[in-house]
Amino acid sequence: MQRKQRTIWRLLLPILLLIVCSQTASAEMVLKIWDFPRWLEPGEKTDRFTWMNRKIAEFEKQNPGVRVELTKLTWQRGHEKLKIAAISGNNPDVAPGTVPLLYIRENLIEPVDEYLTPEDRNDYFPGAIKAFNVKGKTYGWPWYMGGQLLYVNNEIFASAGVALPAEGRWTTEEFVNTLQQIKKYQNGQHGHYPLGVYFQKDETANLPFLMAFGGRLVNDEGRFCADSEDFLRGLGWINELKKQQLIPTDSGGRTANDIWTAFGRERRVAVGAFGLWGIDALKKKFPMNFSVVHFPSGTGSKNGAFLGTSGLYVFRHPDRERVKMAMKLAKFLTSGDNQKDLLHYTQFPTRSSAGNIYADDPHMTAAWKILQEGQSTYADSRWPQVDEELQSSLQQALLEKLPADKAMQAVAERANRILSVESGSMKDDINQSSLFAKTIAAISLLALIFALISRQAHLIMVIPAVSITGLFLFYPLADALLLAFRDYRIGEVGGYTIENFVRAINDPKFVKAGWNTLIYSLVVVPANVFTALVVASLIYGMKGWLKNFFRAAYYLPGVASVVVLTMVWRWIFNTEVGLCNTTLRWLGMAPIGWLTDPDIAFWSVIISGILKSPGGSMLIYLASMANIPQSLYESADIEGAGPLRKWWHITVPLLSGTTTFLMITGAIAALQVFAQVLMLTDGGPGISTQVVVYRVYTSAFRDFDFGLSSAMALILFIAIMVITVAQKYLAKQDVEYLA
Amino acid sequence: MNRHIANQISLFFLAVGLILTGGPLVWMLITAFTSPDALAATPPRYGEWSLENFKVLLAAGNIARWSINSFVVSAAVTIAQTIFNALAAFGFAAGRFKGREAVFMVLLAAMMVPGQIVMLPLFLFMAKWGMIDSLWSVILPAIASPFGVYMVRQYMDSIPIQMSEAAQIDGASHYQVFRHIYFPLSMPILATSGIFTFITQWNAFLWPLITLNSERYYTLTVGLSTLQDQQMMDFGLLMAGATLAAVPMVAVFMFFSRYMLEGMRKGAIQ
Repeated sequence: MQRKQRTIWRLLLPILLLIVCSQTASAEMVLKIWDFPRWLEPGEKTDRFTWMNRKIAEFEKQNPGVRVELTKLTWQRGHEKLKIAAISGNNPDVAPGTVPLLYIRENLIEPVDEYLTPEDRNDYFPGAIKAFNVKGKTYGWPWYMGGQLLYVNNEIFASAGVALPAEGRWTTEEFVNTLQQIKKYQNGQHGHYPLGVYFQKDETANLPFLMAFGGRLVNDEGRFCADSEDFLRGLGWINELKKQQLIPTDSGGRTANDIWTAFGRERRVAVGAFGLWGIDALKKKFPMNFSVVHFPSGTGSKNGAFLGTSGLYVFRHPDRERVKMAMKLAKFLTSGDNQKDLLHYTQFPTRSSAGNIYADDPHMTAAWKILQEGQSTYADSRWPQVDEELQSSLQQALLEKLPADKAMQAVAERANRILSVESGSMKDDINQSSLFAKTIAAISLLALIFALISRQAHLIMVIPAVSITGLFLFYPLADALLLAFRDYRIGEVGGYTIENFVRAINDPKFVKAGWNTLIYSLVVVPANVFTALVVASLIYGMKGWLKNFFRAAYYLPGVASVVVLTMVWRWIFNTEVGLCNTTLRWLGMAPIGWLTDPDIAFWSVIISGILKSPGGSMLIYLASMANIPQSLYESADIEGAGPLRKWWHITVPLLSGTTTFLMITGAIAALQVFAQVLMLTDGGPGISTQVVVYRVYTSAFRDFDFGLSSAMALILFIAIMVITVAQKYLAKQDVEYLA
Repeated sequence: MNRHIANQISLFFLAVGLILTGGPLVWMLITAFTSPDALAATPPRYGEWSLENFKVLLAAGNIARWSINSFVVSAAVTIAQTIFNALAAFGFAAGRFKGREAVFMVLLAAMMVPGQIVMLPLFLFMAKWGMIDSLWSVILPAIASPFGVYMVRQYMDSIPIQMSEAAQIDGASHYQVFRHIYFPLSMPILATSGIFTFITQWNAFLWPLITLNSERYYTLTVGLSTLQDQQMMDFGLLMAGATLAAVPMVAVFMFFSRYMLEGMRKGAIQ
């Protein structure tokens, strides 16, 4: 008995020791800065952090005793990572981005006003400092300004014999006339269009088209008003362009990447709206004779492009010296001198002391003039949520899933509901370790002590696995589920409510996600198990090296991660240059919007789910087949049964226990499908590929609505439980099949 | 004759299936080994092989360090899981203590919890203990797996109880029964689930991405994703990265598949 305990302690001790050892302390001041990849310095091929690293080294030299640690973010997941870190108090000292409204609301950001000298204030362009101003305080050091412009391929314009607009301005009529002439020139070739548009969350590039007739997103009273007649006229106008085939018919599902590939690389689109980065790319990577112009206006007044100002902001910290040093770092990195290097980034400086760095660049000079008339998005921490609603409704309206006016009225109603809720701080609510979780911990601990005292060997052996699961799964789960019954959105901490569940059920995305998840599981799980069974049976009948070869070859793709496989699928399904559409074009067929057509996109996800390696299940089947007594087959042989009949009457029934096991585990996994959707389609186009866990993830980490997220998670959890129990119950009689 | 035809047919089906399931990976390899210029051309010119994508990738990041981290994490998790899972599975399969099935059901329920739900509370919990931005944050939550326990227990349930009873009559303790009967007999399933665990850990992405901040602690998947993020639309580099992440797993599989097979055959004879 003692020996057993000793063994367990021998296992646990090193772990405990290492936990203790991993906590280190240091004397010098370590500042943490997180940044996104920026530009490639001349001569650099891949590293987009060389500038930041060099500037950090300069700063460290100027400030002895200070060390700066850079964490490299990715554009794809960086914002989510930063949000999780910030809300849990593990934030860096300095982080980049546009005005961090969410963190300001959570009172996490230090205002920079007392660190701004009068010279600084004079140096900044007024718009830049205004962009970081919230309720009279400035919350960051503006670094660079950018925006989205309309790009024109001069070569196509010249070939089609149409002129560029005078001074880059045109009315909607002139614009449509030009597009029609280009259409004639393009002569209906597959995939060639005069204009490409896309509507995605966080992409404001094409919104000015919808605002061509004076429509606005938010009125002066802060009410969302994209259901106004003017805005609907803009939307109707875009729909009209689609009917005339001046834009792709599946425009509602296109992404910025699609349109960019078609415009910059394939040159099948003559006009498109992109960020400032396009200027650099069209000079270096895809050299093109191009111009940047204004958005067309249907009212005679100007129709401004959207602008964005980014900067560095400093998180609050109890140590004033540290905050001071972080401010110094942020100010240093965004100083006029250092902003001169923005030349490589094709973004505009925010300080006049940086000088006119684009004096000999006609494109950037033209862009600067256009952006002078630009407009900003609505500065509100709830805007990202509204934006997501808006963009997915726009997609649906353009794809004619919904009539335009209905879609916009619905989004206006939802947006105004979101904007009217005065959110309180959720941080305390999340941070407080709940009584519920503590109770669970206490009960587990008591059970553990009891188990150890009882000296039952079997029980003690179960303890490590159970307690680790309890600690790292059930404890946080209890915390998460409690949030499902909390409502921090009304600003009162401590209230319990079922409002989150009501919201979940009424959330069209969640409903769609539920159906999709169900369809996915119903199609993919049987398909996978059946494939595994057939493959395993065929391989089992093989002999010699063939058997080994096939077993290895079938298992092999299974070692690649979902992330890797999904990356490959995205490449295969790419609308413009992917394998599928390249093959279709080669065969002379019309390309299919594998990931851009809302009726097809989810089936693409399902295809990628079906065509994965049956590896694990196949091995389990093979192992079970080895347990089937050979004598059964021999007696069947005597009776003269063929191979198919033997398979159907002996192999399949005897494997039913394994089949049940694989079905149950497969269903549990399929109901949690997530990574594929996140990386393949990001839930779009529209809401067509939403699945439950994806919705759980995005509502938590993009919208920061933990109550809603947990409520949806709890619903999923119950659904999985019910399905599993039902499956198990239905297959009960078969489970105990063989010794 | 009949048998010969049946063999041909199954060979045909296996080959077709292989093309479908293995196709994406072959396409990944083709893209990775095609020169960047040929890929950027319209239409892309396939057949111009080059190692350029790999050269760029290897020059850019500390791939060796990230691979070691990935290996340490995967190995640690696999070893810990194999021991804990086997112990627990034995406890559940051979034990007759009160509440056995109840505890087992609770453990099973854990399988049904989508990992994304607990991400934030788990992050907070680990942050409280100062484990963020270290390999521990990736290793610890994974060292026991309800799914593993379930799988191993299913297997152990099929080991005749008479064997352990006989051993106990001979004076063996529960631990000895585990050590000398159940553990060796369960080798096939332990090997299968061990390799499975190793691969899963090697491929883990979202959680390590969120908890690891310093480049020196990056696992391969996280490191490659930061590299690839800097070259967003460059499919050649993306596929080269994907290949680099997959190759070690292929090697592990090649090496252990023989061992796994041996285990299975032994298991079958018993």
